[in-house]
Amino acid sequence: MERLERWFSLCVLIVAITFFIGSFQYPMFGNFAYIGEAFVPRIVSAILICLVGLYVWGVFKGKVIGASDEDPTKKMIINQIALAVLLFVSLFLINILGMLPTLGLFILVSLHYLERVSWLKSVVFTVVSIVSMFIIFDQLLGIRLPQGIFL
Amino acid sequence: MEFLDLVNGFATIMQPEYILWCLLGVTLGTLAGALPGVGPVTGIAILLPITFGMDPLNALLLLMGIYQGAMYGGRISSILINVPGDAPAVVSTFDGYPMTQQGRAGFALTLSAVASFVGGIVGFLGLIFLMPTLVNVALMFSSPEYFALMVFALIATSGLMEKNALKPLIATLLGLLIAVIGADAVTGTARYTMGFLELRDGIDFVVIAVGVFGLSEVFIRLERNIDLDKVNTKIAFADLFPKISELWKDRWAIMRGSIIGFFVGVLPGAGATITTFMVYSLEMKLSKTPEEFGKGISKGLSSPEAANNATVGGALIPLFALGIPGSGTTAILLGALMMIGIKPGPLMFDKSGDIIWAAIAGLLLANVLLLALNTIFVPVFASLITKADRYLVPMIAALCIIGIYMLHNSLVDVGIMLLFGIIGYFLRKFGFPLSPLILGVILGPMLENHFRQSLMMSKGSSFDIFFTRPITTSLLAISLIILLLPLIKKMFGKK
Repeated sequence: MERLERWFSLCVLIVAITFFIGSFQYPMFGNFAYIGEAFVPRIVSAILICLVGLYVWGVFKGKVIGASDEDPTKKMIINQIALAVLLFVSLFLINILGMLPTLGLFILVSLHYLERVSWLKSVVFTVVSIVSMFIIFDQLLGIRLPQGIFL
Repeated sequence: MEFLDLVNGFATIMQPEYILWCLLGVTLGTLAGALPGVGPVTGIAILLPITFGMDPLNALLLLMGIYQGAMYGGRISSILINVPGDAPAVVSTFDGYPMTQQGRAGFALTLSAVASFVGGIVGFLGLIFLMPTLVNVALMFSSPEYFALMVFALIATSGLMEKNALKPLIATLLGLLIAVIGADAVTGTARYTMGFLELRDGIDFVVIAVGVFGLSEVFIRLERNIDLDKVNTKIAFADLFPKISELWKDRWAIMRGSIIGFFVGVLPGAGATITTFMVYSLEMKLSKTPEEFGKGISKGLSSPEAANNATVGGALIPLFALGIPGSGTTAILLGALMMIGIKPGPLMFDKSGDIIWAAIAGLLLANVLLLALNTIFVPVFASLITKADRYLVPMIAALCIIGIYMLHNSLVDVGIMLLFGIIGYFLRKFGFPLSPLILGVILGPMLENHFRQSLMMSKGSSFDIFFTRPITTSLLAISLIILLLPLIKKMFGKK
């Protein structure tokens, strides 16, 4: 996790520097409202660069300790990556299959493969969840969810 | 006048529709609080999208119910399985779980429910008596005062008193930077949109809140090693009704906890977690048998629980009177209020007084419902904690996706939320608090606007306006002291 925090600290530094450099596209002061569009982002990002610089230095020197007590196991990391992939795949499937069928698939797959719930329980829970979501969001709240090929 | 408004508020909410929404809120809140890791802020963030398009009062009653319910619910898993539902419930494990081990789980749950009820009532009374005073003070505020107050709130909530002050400060500044994305409020220039039209209106705070609080929780849950299936949470129904004399013994501890909890709750950044630890150590100091603490003494449970719930009323005072949130939960509530067309602040009581007083009355209703729910139905919640755990990962993720889609019917929002979910996971893993980040996102645009308006008011005398007005100068001076405190402590510590 220490190595990961080093990478993370560098990413935060890059974000701060990007915001700082990006602020030069806009004027610092303007005639109207006295301050320009760059005023707040430039000052905030400049302070952030200093603080993140301290953070990066602390992480590389081993002086900053992350909050987590123990590192996740390999299996946990695989599950987390699988979940992230599932979420992004679902995002792309929503327009094709529709919101509720995609979420149904997502719930079913993640319950069975990530949480190791039996097929029967997973299917029952998925059906109940999707029907409940349909009633709450579509029927009661009147939200028009993407229908996909079922339109 | 306020009393009459409150009575009208009660008259409004005493209709089946409103009672039902309040009941739904407290039930969902209790569940959110009881489920380890969820808590009030995540619970409200996940369920916030459901309130879109709802009647404002229904939405407020639901959200306030969730907030109050989550504060009640956190103790259930602390007492029964030694796993706190949320951070303020950590203290409840100290004596609550030993009581369960001694076979007194029913008593512990009822005692803590009664203490929570008293705390909630004290918080409610404090809210209705103190808020009008603060509203009158706030009416004297203009942009420089608001700017200084926001700076104070951001710095105070950054948790600079903690050991590692760097990370909360970085989180706050990151939040402020995220807030500048989108069209400038005055000139309309698109900032940091990278040409994406979808970013022109900025990133909605709900997208960020649901991502960092809700979705990141899903990734965190996959790392948990607790097998709740094997935990025995059976409670004998009769144990839930102890003798009144047993509860009466703790009356002063409960009152102390409630009063301290309320006043600490008013302070931005202090929050329920600090309060519970504070009153626990106070009770220990006042006790004739301090060695009994941690072994199942009732005062070690009742006082922190009362304090925990009293903070709700306290935390709502700056939110309602000044429009300034002092914690992550109230920050999300502020966003929710703005979403339903209510702008918190002193003028809110003129413009939307009927809704707000009804919502405040709803707090009392929520407390009464919660007392019943958290005694009679506690075995049901106890059972749900263990049974629902495995189904939470897909359910939370699905609710986050559907909720964020509802916001603007946009899949881009869902994509951004997924991104913030992953960012939120890493922030949590590396010890960055999320509340300052979300507070920065919400207060960022207001801070910039008030800063600009202050400069306009100064008519060219530049920044002098911040140093010539007593309230502004005092608030900025206090903020500076808080900011420099870790450095001062370090200097003196070394000597």
